[in-house]
Amino acid sequence: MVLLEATGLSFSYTREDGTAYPVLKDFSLSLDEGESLVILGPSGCGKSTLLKILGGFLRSRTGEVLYRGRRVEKPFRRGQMVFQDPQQLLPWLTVEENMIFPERRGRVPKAARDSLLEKVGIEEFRESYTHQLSGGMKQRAALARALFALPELLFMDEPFVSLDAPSRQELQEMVLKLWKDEGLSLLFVTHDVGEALFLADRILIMGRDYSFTYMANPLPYPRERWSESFLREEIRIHSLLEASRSSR
Amino acid sequence: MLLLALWQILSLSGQINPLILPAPTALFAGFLSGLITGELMAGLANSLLLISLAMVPSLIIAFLMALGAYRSPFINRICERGAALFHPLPGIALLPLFILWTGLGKQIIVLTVIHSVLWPFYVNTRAGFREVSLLWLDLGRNRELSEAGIFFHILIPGAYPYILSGLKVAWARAWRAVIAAEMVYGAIGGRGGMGWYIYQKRLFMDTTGMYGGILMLMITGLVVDRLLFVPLERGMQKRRGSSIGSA
Repeated sequence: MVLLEATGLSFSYTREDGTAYPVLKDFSLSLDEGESLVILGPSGCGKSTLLKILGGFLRSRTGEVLYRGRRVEKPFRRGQMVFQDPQQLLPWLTVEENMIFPERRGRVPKAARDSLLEKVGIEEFRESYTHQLSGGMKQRAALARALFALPELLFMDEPFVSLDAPSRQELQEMVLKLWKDEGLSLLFVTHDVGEALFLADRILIMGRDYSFTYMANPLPYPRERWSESFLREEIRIHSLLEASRSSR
Repeated sequence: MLLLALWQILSLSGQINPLILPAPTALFAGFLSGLITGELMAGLANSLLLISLAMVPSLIIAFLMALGAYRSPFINRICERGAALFHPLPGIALLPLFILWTGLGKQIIVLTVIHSVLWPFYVNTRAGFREVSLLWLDLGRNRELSEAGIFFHILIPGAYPYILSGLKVAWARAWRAVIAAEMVYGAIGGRGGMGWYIYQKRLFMDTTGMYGGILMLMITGLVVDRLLFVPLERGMQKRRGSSIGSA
């Protein structure tokens, strides 16, 4: 069943001199319930803008976004966003308070709080403030915050881009597990081909020329990053990306 | 302590004119005498009363201005121009105008303090609202918070370091303004504050009393800082791990 559907999306930013800088033109997308769709493309091709439009944070100039058949006009609780910037956590709150924001601890059962903190591996840091956390811990806390809202759909905008390779892989595995265990749908933006192949059911390749191509991920679970088939797919997607790198 | 001892020795040996700088013991005796007669406490109470009369409305007005400026580009333009014109203007320079407009009375000092508090608190609070990250606002929208929810849960705590800094500057400006205005206008309605106390002591060449008054000003500043601002700043630094911002 289709969870999120977008048709005819167009979006332009305005340059300082007042001229329009288009990033999306007549874009369409469809996401099924429980599906993991990874949006892949070079910097500046409009991946993050697209995610913000789908999440209701930005309004498309044309077309519409439908979530379970209802028009998305503003951000909604069942579609939680994890941003790229680690500063997304509220610095005046502890990890636990960030997670349950804007609820107070007394109003959320301890067992529910404990379970979620444990799920994302930050139970030790529940009383820490954000300035006391590493980049990876901050993104775990942001993920816990998103999950607390009981979303059906997770929007993730290059959430692990600023992390070192081992932390990135660890968090990718955690996202994959949460996606399966919680029955979530996932819209994940990245420019890392390996990350896309590891997480995706389907990959959407966006080009700077407003082109977009969908491809199914043929790799079965569990996925081995260093297996021959994984590397072969990685090379194939790299070549598709190269082809889409034509400038505007 | 060494400096105090040296000061005392030099005063006792007649090296320092007591009319210019009395010995520490004399100075302390003057302070104590002011306390015992109740003059110092009455002066302090009067000044603090004037400050509170002025600070409460000016903090409310400045906060509303900052909020208006944050929400509306039109209000922002007006307030920013007002701040550029009036923020650097010393309150004491406006005293003659206040007299012209309202006549003599307590209101002159209150108006001077309002002017001294309004602009620094507005400038800091406005800067605080500007510093609230768009990501935090998006997070609030993602949680489907109402406008009021975003205001209380994100905007106010997000701007808090600047609001606190603005309060600190506002208090210091108010304290200076009230003392300066009292020195110029003396006792109002038969009662004088700390500024009048110090000025009166100078008129009668009561140097120890004058220093006692200054000591009282310093102690009051210190007590307010230690009891109010230091705990608030410590709490904030524990949470955010950074020192207070100021505009």
